[in-house]
Amino acid sequence: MVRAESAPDRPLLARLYHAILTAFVQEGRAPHYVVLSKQLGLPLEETRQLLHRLGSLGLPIWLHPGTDLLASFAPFSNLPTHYRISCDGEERWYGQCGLESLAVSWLFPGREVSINGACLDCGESIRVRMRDGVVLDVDPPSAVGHVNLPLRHWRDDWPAT
Amino acid sequence: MNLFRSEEHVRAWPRFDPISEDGIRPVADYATILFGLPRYRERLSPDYLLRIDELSRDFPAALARLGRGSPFWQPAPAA
Repeated sequence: MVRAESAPDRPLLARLYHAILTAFVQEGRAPHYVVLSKQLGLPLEETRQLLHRLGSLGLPIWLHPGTDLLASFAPFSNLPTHYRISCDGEERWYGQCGLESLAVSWLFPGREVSINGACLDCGESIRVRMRDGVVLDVDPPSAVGHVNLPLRHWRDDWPAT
Repeated sequence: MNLFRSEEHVRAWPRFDPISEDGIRPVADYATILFGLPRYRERLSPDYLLRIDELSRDFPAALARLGRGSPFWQPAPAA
């Protein structure tokens, strides 16, 4: 269970979550809390604190340590990763990780999403094309997904997971 | 959580942990069994965070299906 259901500020957290993910889809990066404050009509400090709350709910969302800057917001990364994502040929996004990248196509309904990754063993390319959650093509066909940590430890440290 | 060109590439990766052998699954399995769930499909809904527990109802079953009984896929004990 995610620690959002019982949070008294959950309607605000939900608005913040939606605003950030929508911005990621449109612009390929996370807005600063100053921008979010204006967009949501909330005081600056309250928005900043809400952002930190959002990062503490147990979801794969985190800020750069010691800052108010979003580093990663599933399924996207605000920092370059080796999972470049394009939509209908336009490359603008980075996937949070190889597996979360497989969830990106839901955010672009009806459009072709391509995950252009690199194998951490050999550095050669891996490409997965998807539309509306359906895998259209995997190149090479032998490509696999891998989780290095047991499920019970995923939430211990999302960046390491 | 990464993609590799093949199972052999996973095992040759210097950071591969042998206990994670059961964490290797076909890309299509991860895409459909796990990331096809409402928990992932509905992320752009304005009320997503308000409904996340409801949207995650079939998450444990999907993990069990992906895990095929492996202890690697056992969830953390409830707090």
